[in-house]
Order: sequence, then structure tokens, then C-alpha cells
Amino acid sequence: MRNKGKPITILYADDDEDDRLLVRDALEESRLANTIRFVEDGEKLMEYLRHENSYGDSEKYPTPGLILLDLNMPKKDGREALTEIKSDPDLRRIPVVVLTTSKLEEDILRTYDLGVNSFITKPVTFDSLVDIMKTLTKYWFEIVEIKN
Amino acid sequence: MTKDEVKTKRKYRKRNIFYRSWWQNIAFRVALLSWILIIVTLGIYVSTLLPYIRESAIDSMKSEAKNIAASIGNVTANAIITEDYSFAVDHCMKVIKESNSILYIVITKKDGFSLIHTRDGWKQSTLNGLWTRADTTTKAARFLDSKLVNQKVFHYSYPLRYSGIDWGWIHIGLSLDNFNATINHLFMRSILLAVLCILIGLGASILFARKLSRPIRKLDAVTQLVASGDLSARAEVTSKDELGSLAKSFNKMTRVLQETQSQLLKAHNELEKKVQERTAELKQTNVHLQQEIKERKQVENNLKIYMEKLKKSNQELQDFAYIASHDLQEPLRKVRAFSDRLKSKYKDALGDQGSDYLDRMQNAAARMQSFITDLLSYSRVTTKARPFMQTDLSKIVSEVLEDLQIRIEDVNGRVDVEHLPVIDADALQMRQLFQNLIGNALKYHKKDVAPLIKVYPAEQDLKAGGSDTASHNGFCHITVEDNGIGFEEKYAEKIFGVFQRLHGRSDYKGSGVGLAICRKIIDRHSGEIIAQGKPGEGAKFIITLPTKQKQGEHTT
Repeated sequence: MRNKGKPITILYADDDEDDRLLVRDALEESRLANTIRFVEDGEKLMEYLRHENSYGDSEKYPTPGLILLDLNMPKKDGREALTEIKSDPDLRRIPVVVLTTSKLEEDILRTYDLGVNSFITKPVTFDSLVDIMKTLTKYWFEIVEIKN
Repeated sequence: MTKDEVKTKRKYRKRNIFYRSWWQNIAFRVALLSWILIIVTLGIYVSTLLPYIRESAIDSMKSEAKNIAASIGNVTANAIITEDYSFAVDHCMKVIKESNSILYIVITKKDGFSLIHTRDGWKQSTLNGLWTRADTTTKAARFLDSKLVNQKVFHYSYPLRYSGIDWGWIHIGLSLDNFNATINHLFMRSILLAVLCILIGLGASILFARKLSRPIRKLDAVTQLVASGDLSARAEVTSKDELGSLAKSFNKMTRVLQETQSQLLKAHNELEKKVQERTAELKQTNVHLQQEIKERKQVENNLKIYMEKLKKSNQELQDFAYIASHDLQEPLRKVRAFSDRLKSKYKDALGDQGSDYLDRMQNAAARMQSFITDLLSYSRVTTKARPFMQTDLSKIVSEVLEDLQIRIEDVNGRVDVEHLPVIDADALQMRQLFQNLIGNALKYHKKDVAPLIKVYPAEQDLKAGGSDTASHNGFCHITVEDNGIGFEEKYAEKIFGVFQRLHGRSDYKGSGVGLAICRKIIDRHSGEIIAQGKPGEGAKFIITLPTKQKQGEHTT
């Protein structure tokens, strides 16, 4: 079901500040109406999704319509967070896209096994990143039917 | 002394005791036998001789009585017939008195009238019975208990004949004293003789038996000695009979035994000596072996340590490859991304020169990235190896050509592929190999000539024997040949090194890892790759690969 009134939130979990900046820029560049929120590691991600601790305000931290997930993060890495999300009945329907530097076959296979919806390697150029953001939002928010 | 010897000795002693029981003694038995023989002989002799002597004694008495009777008859017949009895009585009394053996003389006429003369006197009487019935059929001589003289007598009756007519009988009674004395004497002498004979026989037989059994006993004693192990013992029997011969044979046998034993002993000693020598040698060898084992163990341990070290350094290398793929690439990606942002957002502010610098910076970063990825794929030849499987090289090459389709068309090139063999290989790496080789051939083409690439099995010029099959002696040979720019022969080995390039970056792009990867793949497959070429005349890459790989050998 599409929510036309309120912009859908994208939650991006990555410990790399540069990447967070680049994704924000790319989203701006693609002129999309979606709001984006950032968390720095897997633990914060889970707190955000469960509205715990500093993430209690659901107005300020709305439940995301799409999670972008880096695999290598401190404290709790992307694989662990992914396992938790996919085993939580409240969160398992939120699409998760892994956005990582890894091109390793075992990483790809393993995260698909854990139930990830897409696996994307971080592009080298900024233009490619803009393209990816455009494609992702278009695919998940316009083409595919999901419940938000 | 061994157990067997003890056993034999005990058994022998038992037998010895058995033999020494006196009734079982051979000397005793021989003595007994000869003694019994003597007694039996004596018995037979006595029992046949005694009756004969008695008969002859009786005969002599008979003839004595007959003579007496005949003489009396001759003398007195006339007087009796003429009834001149006094003459007859006088003569008879005279005869009786002269002899001490005549007990009575009875002259009986047929009518029973008898003149009875004894040592005490004479009388006249009428007799009958015994006295009158004497005839030729009745026995003239007999022993009888006479009432006339009240003792046992030898009674002899003789006819009183005169002028051929029998007038009566003359009866003579002889005393048995002489006869009895003779018989008794004979009997006594016989008994004496028998006892003497028996005693002498006993002694003689004992002596004989002893003499006979002495050599046997000697032989027995010597046999005992020999049996108990003293082979030097010899029998001292000198007689020339069977026993002597037996003793000689026994001595001969013992001598042979002794010789054999001494030979055996000698052989045994030699053997023992040899065994000792061999044992010493073995001990020595054992010591050597143990030392060798110790050394080998040491070497093994060292090897283990090296293996551990190698494993560790291999692991470190893999870790390095991972770091190279992620951590090194990460900042590089950022450099490229932010320089992109800089270029697009602040193009005007940078100016032409600034943009040029930024371009160069981006190029350098891109090159570094390709170095890193190439290096990673080089290291992955061993770290990301797959097991060897049956791989159709024709199929692999056709897939590679599909991938390279656009590049081939771009340069207007042509690739001729002959039928290639099926071998045990890592399919992915085979693909990488041909991708690199054909890719290189396409890349280094002459500017004015369309590239013509040939991929074919076997190389007649290289391998002697003119093999016309793809696989030969368990190996297959594949050549990738092009008509490109070629290279100088002296670089034929150098081009397989990592990051080795023969041309400037401006002429031909690339990090110089492609052929190094090819070499590494071939090495992993226990094969060989060589390059041949001349500048301007194209290049040839000749691959030799085993068609079968050993089981379990999939990583190196």
C-alpha cells in the first residue's frame, strides 16, 4: 500500500561517516522526497527499530520503509542485525538492502541466506551512487507492493 | 643337563632296578638252567642205572643159587634115590657151613618127603604147596618171606634130576644181606654222587653263568655310561665270540657317535659364535637405526614446525588479500567518490587547470584500484581454488569467446578454435586462463592488421614424434597463436612476472598481472606454459597440461 501523503523514511546503518555523507548527497541529488535517518552501528539500528532509549520518539524517528545496511560495523555487525530483524515478527517485513564494499562471494551468499532483499556493492563513482538511490527508491516505493 | 637327559636317566635307573632283581638276573637264570640240566641228566642216569644194577645183582644171586643147587644135585642125587639120606644130609650141612649166604637147603621128593637143612641143623618132614609145585612154568627164583628161617630170602628151586628123570626139587634159600648191602651201598653212592654232582654243577654253572654274563654286564655298564652322555666309554670285551663282536660293533658305534657329537658340538659352537656375531651386528644396526629414527623424528618435527609456519604465513597472505580487497580499496573509493563530487559541484571554481589535476588524480586512483583488484585475483588463484573436475576446454573457450564478442568485433578480429580435449581442471580458472590469453592477443594487435587468433591442440614443431592427437603421454598441449605485435625473445620469461609490462601505459592499458595469473593457474594444474615470439611477427603461447589430476589434489 502506497503512502502518498507522508514521505517514506529510509534508514541507513553505516559506521563510515563519508559514506553517510555520500548517500545523503546522492539522495539530495536524485531529488527524492524521502527522509533519511542514520545509525552508526547494529545496536543503534536495533534500538531505533524498537524505539528504545534515545529513539523513543516515533515522530522524530519514524519506522523506516527501507533499511540500507552495511555489513562491517562495530559492536553489532550487519549480519547479526540482519538475523535479528528477520527473526522479529514486527520487523521482518521491512525490506533490507545490504550496501557494502564487499564483493566476496561468501558474503553475498550468506546474507541472501539470512533473508536480505538485495545485495549491492558500494559503487566507485558518485554518479553510480545517485543511480542506485534512484533505482532503489523507485523499485521499493513505486514498483513493488509492500505494506508500510 | 637337559630335561630330556634327566628323564632318560630316571627311566634307565628304573629299568636297572628291574633288571637287578635276582630272579631276573641273566647270570642267575643261566646258572639255574645249567644246574637243572645237570640234575635232570643225573636223574635220568640214576633212574635207568639202578634197576639194571639190581637186575644184575639178582642174576648173580640166581646163578650162585643155581650153581649150588646143581652141585648138590650132582653130589646127592644118587644118595637120595638110593635113600642114603645121611650122605645127603652130611653134604648139605657141609655146604651150608661153608657158605655164609645159604640160609637153607631143602631137598623135596615128589611125594613131599623132604630133608630140611638150616644153619641150626636138619630135620625130616613132609612138605607140599610151594615146595612140591615147583615146575618149569613157575618162576624158579623169587623173593619170599620164609617161615623156615623167619626172614626175607631169595628162594631158588632147581629140579633134582637123575638119569634124565625128575625126582623132586632142590630148594636153595639165599640170605639177602649181601644183596641188600649191595643195593644200599649203590643207593648211598648214587645219592652221594648226585649231591656231589649237584654241588659241583651248581658251582660250575654259577661260574659259567658269571663268565658268560660278565661281558654282557660290562657292556651294560658301558651302555649306561654312554646313555648318560659319556661317549668316551669303551667296552673292554676281548672274547672272540658273538659278544666280542658285539662289543667291537658297540665300540665302533660309540666312536662314530662320539665323532658325530664332537662334529655337532663344533658346528654348534660355530653357529653360536655366528649368532653372537650376528647379534652384535644387529645391535649395532639397531643403534644406528634408532639414531636414524631419532634424526628422522627431529627432521619430521622441524618439518612440522615449518609446515605450521607455512600455514601461518599462508593464512597471513590470505588475510593480506582480504585486507587488500577491502581496507585498501575503501579509502581509494572515497578518494574517487569525493573527487567526483568536487568535479561536478565545483567545476567552475576549479578552472581548467584544477580540473586537469583532478582528472589526473582520478586516473591514478582508478589505476591503483585496478592494481588492487588484479592483485587480488592473482592471489585468488590459490586461495579461491576449486577441485579439479572433468572440463571440456572447447566449451570453456567458446564461453570465453562469447564474453569477448564485443571486443572482437571492435577490432574486427577473428578467432579460429579447433577441437580441444576434455581434461581434469578447475573450470573457472581455465576460463580465466583463456580469457587472459585471448584477451592479450586481441589487445596487442598490430594497428593496421585485423587480429587473427588460432587456438589449437598439440604443437608438432615443439614436441618430437609428430603426435597428431591432442593428448599424449597423459599430457595435452594447446597453443594460442596470434599475428599481433609479438615481443622480443629475451622477454619470453619476464612477461609472466607480476606487474611486468613491456609497453607504456599510454600504448596499452593493464596492470601486468594477466600472464602472471596464467602462469599461476598452470602451475596449480602441474602444467607448463611457455611463450614464443618475435617483434612484429606475433606471439605463441604453448600450454602443457596433464589430462588427469591426482585425487584430492585440488589446492596448492
